[in-house]
Amino acid sequence: MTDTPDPYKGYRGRGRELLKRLGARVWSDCTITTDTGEFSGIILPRSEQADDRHIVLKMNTGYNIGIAVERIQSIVEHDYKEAHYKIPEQEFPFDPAKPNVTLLGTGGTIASRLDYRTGAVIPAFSPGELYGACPELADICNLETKKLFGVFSENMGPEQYLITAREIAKQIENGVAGIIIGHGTDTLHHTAAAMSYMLQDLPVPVILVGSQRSSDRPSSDAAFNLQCAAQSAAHGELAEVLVCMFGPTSDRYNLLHRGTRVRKMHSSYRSTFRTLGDTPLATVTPEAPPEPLRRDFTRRDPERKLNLYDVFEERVAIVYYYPNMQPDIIESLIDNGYKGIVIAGTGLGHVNKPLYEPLRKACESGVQVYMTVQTLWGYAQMYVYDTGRDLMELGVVPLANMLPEAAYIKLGWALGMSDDAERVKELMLTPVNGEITEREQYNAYVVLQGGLPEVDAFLHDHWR
Amino acid sequence: MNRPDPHTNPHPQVRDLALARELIVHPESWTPELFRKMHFMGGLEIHQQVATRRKLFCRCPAVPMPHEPAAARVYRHMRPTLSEMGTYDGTALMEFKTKKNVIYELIDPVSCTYEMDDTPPFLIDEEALRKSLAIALMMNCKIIDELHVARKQYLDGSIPTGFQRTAIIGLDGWIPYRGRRIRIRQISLEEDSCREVNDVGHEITFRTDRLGFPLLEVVTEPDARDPWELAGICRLLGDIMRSSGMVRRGMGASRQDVNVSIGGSTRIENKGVSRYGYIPRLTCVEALRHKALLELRDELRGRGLNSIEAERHVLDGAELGFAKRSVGLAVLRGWRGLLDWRTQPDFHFVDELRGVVRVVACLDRFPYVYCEHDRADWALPTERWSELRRRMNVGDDDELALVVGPENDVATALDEIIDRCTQALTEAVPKQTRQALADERLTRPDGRRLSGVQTDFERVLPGADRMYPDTDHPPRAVSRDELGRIDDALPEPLWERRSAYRAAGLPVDVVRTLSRERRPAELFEELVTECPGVDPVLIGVTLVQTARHLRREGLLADIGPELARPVFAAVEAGLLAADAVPRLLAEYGARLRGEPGLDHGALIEEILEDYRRLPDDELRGVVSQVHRAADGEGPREPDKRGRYLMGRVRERIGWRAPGRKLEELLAAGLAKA
Ligand SMILES: [Zn+2]
Repeated sequence: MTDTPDPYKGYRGRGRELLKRLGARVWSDCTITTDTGEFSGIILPRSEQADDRHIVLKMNTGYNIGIAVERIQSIVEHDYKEAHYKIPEQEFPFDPAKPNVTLLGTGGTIASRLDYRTGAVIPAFSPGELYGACPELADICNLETKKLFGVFSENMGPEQYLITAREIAKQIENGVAGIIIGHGTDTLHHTAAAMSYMLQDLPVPVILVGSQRSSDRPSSDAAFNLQCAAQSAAHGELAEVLVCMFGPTSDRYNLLHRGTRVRKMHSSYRSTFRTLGDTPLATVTPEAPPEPLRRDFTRRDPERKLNLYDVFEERVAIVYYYPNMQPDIIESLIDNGYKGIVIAGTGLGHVNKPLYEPLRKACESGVQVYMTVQTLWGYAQMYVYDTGRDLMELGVVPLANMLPEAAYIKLGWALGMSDDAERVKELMLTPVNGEITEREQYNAYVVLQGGLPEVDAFLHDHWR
Repeated sequence: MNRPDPHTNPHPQVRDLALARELIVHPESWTPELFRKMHFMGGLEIHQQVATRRKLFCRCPAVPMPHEPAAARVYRHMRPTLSEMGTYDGTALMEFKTKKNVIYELIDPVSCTYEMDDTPPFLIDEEALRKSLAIALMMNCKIIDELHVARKQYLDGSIPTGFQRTAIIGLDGWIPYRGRRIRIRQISLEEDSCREVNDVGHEITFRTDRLGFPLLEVVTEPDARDPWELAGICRLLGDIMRSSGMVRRGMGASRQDVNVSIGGSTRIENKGVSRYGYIPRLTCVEALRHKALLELRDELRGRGLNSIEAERHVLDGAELGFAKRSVGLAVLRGWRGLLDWRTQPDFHFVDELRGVVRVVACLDRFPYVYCEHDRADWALPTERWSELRRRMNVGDDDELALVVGPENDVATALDEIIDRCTQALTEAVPKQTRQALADERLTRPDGRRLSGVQTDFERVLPGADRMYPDTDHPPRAVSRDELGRIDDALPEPLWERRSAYRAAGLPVDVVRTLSRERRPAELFEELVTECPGVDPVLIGVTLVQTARHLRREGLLADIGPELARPVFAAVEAGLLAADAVPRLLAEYGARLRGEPGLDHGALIEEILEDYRRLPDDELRGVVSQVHRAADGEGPREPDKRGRYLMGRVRERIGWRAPGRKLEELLAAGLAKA
């Protein structure tokens, strides 16, 4: 198959016409004559979302400018300079004394370069590329990489969960010391939950990691995260599915969060991942193995036998309740053959009266309906008020303090595990790894309120 | 991309002038002619904050808060990234080698999560864009049809993202200067960087209050032919921007970088020139540094050195009297005496080494590098050097440089010393960004005062490779309509207004103020149009000189249109004597100060009535009464008597008549008598 690159990459309509007519193309090093004078530089590909009225030129100062198509009189090509984006690749050194770690790529921006056509970030991925971008990794472990797929976080789904879980099982079979999964951050916690249920009794760490500032930026958190993840996978004592991301927004340490209790809490902060309703398991820095913050975690044990449960039922939905929600929302799920519904209810786990009827219908027709809380912290305690008791009467099952996303993934997994309603319910109510906790300790809910003198004093005295 | 620097000095090295080391110590020899003979070329990069309500890419107020304490701090590092063309930038790699811990002080009321690099940018501030386009039009630039925000990498930490967001808005402009055109290469709109608080060893601290202010960068072609022209052009550019009324003023609102080369050298960027006044001296010193370095290369070649032969040793610090530190020794073969080669009034070649070592190797203890020519009290004793020479088997023709610091840093420092010496032979004047050591920094780290502005190494001159497109911003088209509206609202160009003011006979200081200050200039234009019968000189002098006088006296903060309009309308209507204007305004100010609650409009009416010009026949009556009453009194000598009588008239009528008219009438009366 020959791959002829489009010489007018990204240009459409009038812009494309003009380039064709004047015999110019993308990567032409040229002089463009307009009604106000000449511009020299290299014609760059244009973003496909941009209009068709400008040609983009990279000038020798490095700046890009857009020149209006209607003003261009001629283009003279002097040279042709296609850019080849390549992260300098150097062979990743192998040291028999160091643990072997496999990095599985799913997409995301752990190490990347820019694609000028779409402005998108292309992941750099081979060990050689990673070594070129972050040579410190070689001080921590030996690294193998495998690209599973290149999708953005929002496109991760059941198919990708299954492939990832099976690949991890295979790698563990091969005897790696730990596994890193590079992942976009938006749905990192969904994948972390899925891996937690699918991969039980892990002998070694499975570390999910992403970055909030892509590595095409000097201030990127990617290299720091990657090194912390490598420390955790290669040398960490915690053999669980863990998310490894910034603790504070400063380059100080990362936190290791249990895969079932973690959630992305800010659209752009580095320290966006937080453990909810519990405390994180450990801190880790690029220089040293993780330091546990608590003792109740599963320890590394290469002899332990992994159990892989690679199943997932896709017809599951999450319903975020809002006041005045109409019955047809639930009815349409029943009509469309959904097998499970997770409600994120208000307060202790409530919805309004008009939903009772369709919920009864759902439960009676065998749809599994579970209740979580949209407050994210705290338990669904439906026995406290009549509303809750009525719902339980209908067959809605409260999921204690399971996070809505963790519950959604778990229900898909549990329905994959069994067709038997009671068995599914049993799976749902029996925690695999902390998705339900028996108690909420005093420091499991800490959302400091800025503006209070004592909180501001704390923020002043600690790295943000 | 290997493209020629637009500022490439095409001229060869000139060797038939006095040697730099002589010229450097004789400032009286620094004349425009000297530098023209050296084929001096000078260009400017002016950074000027635009006056806006908000910052450029976030909605924080654009208010400098230099004294507000930090609310919190962030700790970060910077890593180099790949350029668009697939390579790493040299500066970037150098800065990464320095491995600095960067600390940002968050100044709460004026920085948000964007300044922390924890929120993507918001769309570009439209006020900043509109004002910048106006200034670019004032400088006759071609405006870019579609703006693309780029990222200019700075790994020194001065911007938390590691890059400065910047967009070219105009190209190829010009301004007139001494009968020719000074070419403007480009104007870009960018976000201002952090202010550095502290930089010691491996830790650097920045404040985030100034970060993100809209900043115009105006780059000229190297059209200045001597250092004094460079200063003149700088001043003119400053005046033009100021005359727009759209730029911020005060401390730190504008900074100049000067680019200097001479025949045989390359462009060196000198940063941080905070005042026009420093430019000529700084530029002379820098140009002579180039000359000195070119002559050093001649000397090296004369000694038959075609490459650098150097040995490096890392020694035990304790043995040499530096407890707990490593000592690096570079032996430079054939360089005997050359570290003492004078490069600036207070600096020698060893100081070139000190600069790179301090910045790149992060050594934090002055003097960073020792040599045998040191004369200060910290210098190593001669016996120590002789002992070293014996021990290391150093030849008589060789030179020694010694660095002291932590082991890793000493290794980097030795590399840098040898690199810099190699450059002395290959490039002579290596491409660098240098910092001007001026005003408060005139004191050297050892406590000695510098004899005047000089320059020191800041970083390697960055190339075009550090520019990346900003994927966080869609391109922003500038429509013809939009530009038309901005263009229509522009004031007449500064230089045209200046010649018009001069032609109208306005005094020099009035011309200068009116041509660069938007508000009085607009009021002046209005009043001249509204009151064609009033001498424009009176209006100009009132708005500038009288206003200044009253401000200094604390009588009146400003002469605004609400005051100036009725006053000059009265002059126009013949109801107010021209020479009564300053007195009237002073009285207005004084009364207002005494009774701040007064209704301004009514007060002007009242005072105008008090100063209302007397009809000629009434005036004649007063004059003859005064003549009669003074008969036999007062001095007799004609001049003195004239003044005496004038005083008596003024006692009775105040300033209700023009002085010239009174003189006329009094003279006629005296003649009669
Ligand atoms: Zn802000």
